[in-house]
Amino acid sequence: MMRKKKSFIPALRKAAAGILLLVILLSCAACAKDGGDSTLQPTDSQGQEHPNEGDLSDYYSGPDNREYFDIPAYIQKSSFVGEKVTVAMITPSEENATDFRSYVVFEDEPIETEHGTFRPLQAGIYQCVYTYALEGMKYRFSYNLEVTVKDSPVFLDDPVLPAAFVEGKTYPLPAVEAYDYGNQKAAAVTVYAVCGGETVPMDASGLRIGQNHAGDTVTITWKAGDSGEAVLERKVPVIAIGSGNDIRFAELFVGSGWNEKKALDDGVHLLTTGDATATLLNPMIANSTEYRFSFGNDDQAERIVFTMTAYHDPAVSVTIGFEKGRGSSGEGKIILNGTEEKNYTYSAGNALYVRYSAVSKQFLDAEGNLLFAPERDSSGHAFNGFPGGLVVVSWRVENVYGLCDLRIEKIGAQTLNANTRDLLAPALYYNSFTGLYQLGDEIVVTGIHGVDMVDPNAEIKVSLFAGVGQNLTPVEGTFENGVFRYTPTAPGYYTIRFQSTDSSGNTATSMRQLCVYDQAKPQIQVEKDLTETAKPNDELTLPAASATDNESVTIELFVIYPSGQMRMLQRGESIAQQTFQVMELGTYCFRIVATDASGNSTMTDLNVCVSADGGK
Amino acid sequence: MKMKKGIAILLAVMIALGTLAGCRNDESTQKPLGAENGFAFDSSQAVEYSSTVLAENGKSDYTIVIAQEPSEYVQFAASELQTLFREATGAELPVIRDENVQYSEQSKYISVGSNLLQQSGGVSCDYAIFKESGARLITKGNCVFLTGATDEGALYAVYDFLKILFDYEFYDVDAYTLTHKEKVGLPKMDLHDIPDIDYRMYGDCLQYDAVGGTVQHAFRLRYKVYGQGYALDGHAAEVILPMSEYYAAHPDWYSDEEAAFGATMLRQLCYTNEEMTAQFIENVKKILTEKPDTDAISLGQADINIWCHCPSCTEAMQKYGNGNTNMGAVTQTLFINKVVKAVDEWLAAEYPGRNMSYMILAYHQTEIPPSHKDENGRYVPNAPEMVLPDNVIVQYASIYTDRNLAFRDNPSECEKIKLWSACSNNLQIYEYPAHYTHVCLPYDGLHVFADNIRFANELGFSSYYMQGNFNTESSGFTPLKIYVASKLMWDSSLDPMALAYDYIDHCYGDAAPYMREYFDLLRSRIAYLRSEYDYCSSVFEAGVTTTNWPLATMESYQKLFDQAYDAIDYLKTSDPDRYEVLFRKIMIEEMFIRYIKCSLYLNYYSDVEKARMIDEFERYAMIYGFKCYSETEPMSTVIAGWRSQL
Repeated sequence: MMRKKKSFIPALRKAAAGILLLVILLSCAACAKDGGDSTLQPTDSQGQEHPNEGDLSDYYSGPDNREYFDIPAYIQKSSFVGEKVTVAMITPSEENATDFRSYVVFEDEPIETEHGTFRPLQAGIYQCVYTYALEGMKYRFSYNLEVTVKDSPVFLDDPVLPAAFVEGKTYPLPAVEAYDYGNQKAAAVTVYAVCGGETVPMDASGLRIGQNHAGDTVTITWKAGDSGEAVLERKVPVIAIGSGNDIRFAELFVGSGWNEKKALDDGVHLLTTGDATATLLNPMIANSTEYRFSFGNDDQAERIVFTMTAYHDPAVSVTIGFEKGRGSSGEGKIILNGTEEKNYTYSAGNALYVRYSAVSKQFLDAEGNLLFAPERDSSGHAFNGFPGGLVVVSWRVENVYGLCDLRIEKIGAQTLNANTRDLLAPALYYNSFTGLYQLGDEIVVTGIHGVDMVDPNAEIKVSLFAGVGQNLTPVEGTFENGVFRYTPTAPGYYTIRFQSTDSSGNTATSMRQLCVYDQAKPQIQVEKDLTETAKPNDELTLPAASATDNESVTIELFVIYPSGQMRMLQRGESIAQQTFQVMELGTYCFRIVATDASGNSTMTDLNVCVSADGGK
Repeated sequence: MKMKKGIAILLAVMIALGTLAGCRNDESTQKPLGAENGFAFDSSQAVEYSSTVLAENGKSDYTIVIAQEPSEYVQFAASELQTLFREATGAELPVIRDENVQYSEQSKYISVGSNLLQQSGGVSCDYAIFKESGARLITKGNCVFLTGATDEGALYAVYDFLKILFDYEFYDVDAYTLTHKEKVGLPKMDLHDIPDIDYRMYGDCLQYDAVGGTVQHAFRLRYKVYGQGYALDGHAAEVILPMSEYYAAHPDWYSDEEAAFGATMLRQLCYTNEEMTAQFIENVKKILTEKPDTDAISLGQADINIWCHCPSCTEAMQKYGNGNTNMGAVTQTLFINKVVKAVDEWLAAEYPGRNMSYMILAYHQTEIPPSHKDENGRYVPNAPEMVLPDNVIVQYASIYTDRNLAFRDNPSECEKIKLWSACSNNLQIYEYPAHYTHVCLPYDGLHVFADNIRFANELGFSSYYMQGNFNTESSGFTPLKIYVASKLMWDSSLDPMALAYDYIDHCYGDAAPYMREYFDLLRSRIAYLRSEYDYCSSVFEAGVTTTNWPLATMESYQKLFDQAYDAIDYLKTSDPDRYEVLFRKIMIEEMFIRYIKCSLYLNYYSDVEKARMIDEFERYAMIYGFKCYSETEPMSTVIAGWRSQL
């Protein structure tokens, strides 16, 4: 939704502000006369002081100045210790506001918030404060949030669940913890699920949705406390998308308000006569996945709004609206989060395109040109990418004024059409990890999972090998709950291989090389001494040499001539004795270098001074 | 053991005369130095001091005297003397002009360069002996004379004087030695210091104002700056007769072929075209008129590897080129002889006393000289017309040579250079001792420096140029190479490894042991790569491969750099300025490691590490002047390529 714009401050308001300032300054003068602190402390109408956040021009305008802010109709003003609170989304109502800040204060200490939410850990009054500056004046609004201790445990997590369960699939249940703040102890949590009047089986893999439950709803209930007095419930519908060679791609789009969903040669068509939202069933990798969509045969909707929401933190989302009004071709607007907009030309049948780059945190068009580089997400908080790298995507058609045919043409590498076979391998995802380790370090890779548009249960396998290329020797690591671990016992190169296979047999493989170093330097043993002096044309006997180390070692023999020329004489697992004739006057340096597979090197120099008299 | 310089030069002359029958040395310029020119300067020998005091307890009675209108060299020399003398003793030496200054035994002057004081003191320097950069230091009475046949020599006399008094040695920016003394006496000197190579240059960004360098850096290392004193330098043909102005009306003035130079298509001149030659001469005259203070001009060909093969040029090459119709040096020599004759005659009439030198290139199609070995084994020109006058400098730039071989070890190079000496008395070796395709990569110039410079000296070449990277900072111990080369060009008998280690010891502070170990390991690695893969034999070598630079090797080097930084860490608080000086020097070398890791091994790092590595490289590249990744291409190109992998 677009922000209200006000283009000026009425003169009356300015006058009122000026009078108020005068009153405050006079109050300060009185304080000074009495010998009090001359620092202006903002106070409210009850005489309560507030933390001084600025210079002498700062003041608290009191609840009467709420008209300087856009305030939602509902503000949460009470909560419990431990329960997540979403701070009200309050913004300046003036267009040229600067230095807008919002923060939470508890007992004069700031409270850290993330995407506008926080968990109060103590009971008391939390003050949510909003300030901004405009034309030399500062404006402020605040409200109090009263937090008390609940008489039952509080759930500490907000479980993230899919938009729908697919029948026949298994879904890991997110862990939910609870805490009893009254008794200051963790509360035991139990969970069960019911679908169609039957208990849904659960095991170590998660919730196993049975077959033939399409159309039912799974109700998952978490209970905490000695008598289960705290209850958290979530409902998730069950759908059927087919299996094997009979995938019903239209069923991947979950949502209400649609009259019909069908897969045709040119895409999946979602038909409606009113506003409707379709969410893609499975999360997608945020980075570089392209989305191509358009209106099909009927385009009687004023806009399509495309939304990406972080799977691991639904508070983070970005919307991109394609607005065309009531024509089939012409100039329209692409709107980011309902605020920032740019023009575009649309015509009937032409595809719309969005791709997000996690590297640059930008949204791009089909040509790779910048669409938007959002600084804020759709709720107005700072945007730093989609945490966890996975997103749930959805489309919403708005202001439908007749027949609307939303056509989804392509998602990632998957072109959507009447084909019923899933031909696309899952995308492998894991948290970025370093490839360099010291001997003794543990190799840990987390967040490993396969992301498939069709199959939420893509199987993952992780293997580790010593060596690279063709010379691979398997080593035993552990892989559990998306985390792979291994502690190497020998230095060298390793190869880690990730494989993900979906239920249609499509397999994706990704490999990376790792390097494990040790720190121990090789030891050089030289068989005997070399003379330190010689005459020109003397033939020297260079001694044999070898090296020892806890891994393979290469040893080299070089000669550095008095002119500075440097040549390699031998290289291998050892140095054999050899003769060498010195010709030039000056110092010859015979350098032995031993290097192990980790690159640790040791050098030994044997210097011979060649002079006309041989050093006598 | 180092021989006295005078004897060494004499022997070199005899060797040259004996072994190069075709060598055109003029014996009249090779007279022995004799006692009237003093003794050879040897910094290892102790100097006797008189009872006269130069400075004591921060005070001195001495005054520096320079000419009424001093040259840039003399001004700089006086400034250096004043500044460093003050730093060493605390005493301020005033600088005055020579008006009304006369020599007497008691007067206390330090004369710098040629001036009235020097004249009245009866001190002179024969150009035939001292040439451009020879230095003379002589004490007469209480006066000190620091001079040469030119003011350039006077500058080096100042440095030699500071060496004697305070063991002054300049290594690099922010790195020199200078012993502080409370009392310093007047040394008794009658010394000359004449370099093995008279005209020395090392072109590098450290010397060019445009990229943050300074010409003073060159002067302190006893180098001239490339193009110094030149009306035009480098590939000047395109400037003298630009295609943009003349080609449309006179296509026959240019070669039938064209070739690309970067994004531009260029042609060589048709050197047998008389009309072109006439216009060329007129344009040269115009340039010299516009630049009256210059004493040299390049007439060098365009930097493309083609030549004119029109019927006239082909006929000339056939006639004078031993049957080789690709011998561009033939037509170039014919052309240059005409041009030089015409311009010299014009100068004699219009600007008497103005003597010019002219530079041409033996490069690409003109690398092979128009000469041969006769039946007696002597190197002789193919015809009298193939001999160049002494005021033509032939810059021999064998860009395709195998850089891993010293000239004397490379039979074809050796032969070509000796053949050239049949056509010219004024050869300048142009060497390529750097990595040009990836400036962050090392090239081990020390492998051939000493041998090549000694070879040039033995053949009597008076001019040597090493081309570094002009436009950008580079890794691979470039300042160390610049220092070692400067010392060897002055005295080719010095030990290059001793010079290199001396540089490291004086330039890296407490980090020196780690930098020395890195230097030794790096040279060893390059020696192995030379042996196995002929690494960097070509000027055009790329070399950014995992075979050349395995990750394990880079990590082992990284450990040494980490130790180097640790060793200087305490300076962050105790001496932040010194810390920054050392940090910069170490980081410039570490940029090689960073470059290789970003180019080849980003996939071994997590996303956060990758982004940090690229950001840090970019930041240090910007701060420390790594403007280009190759000789000319911007560093931003390669950084953008790395970022695209994120």
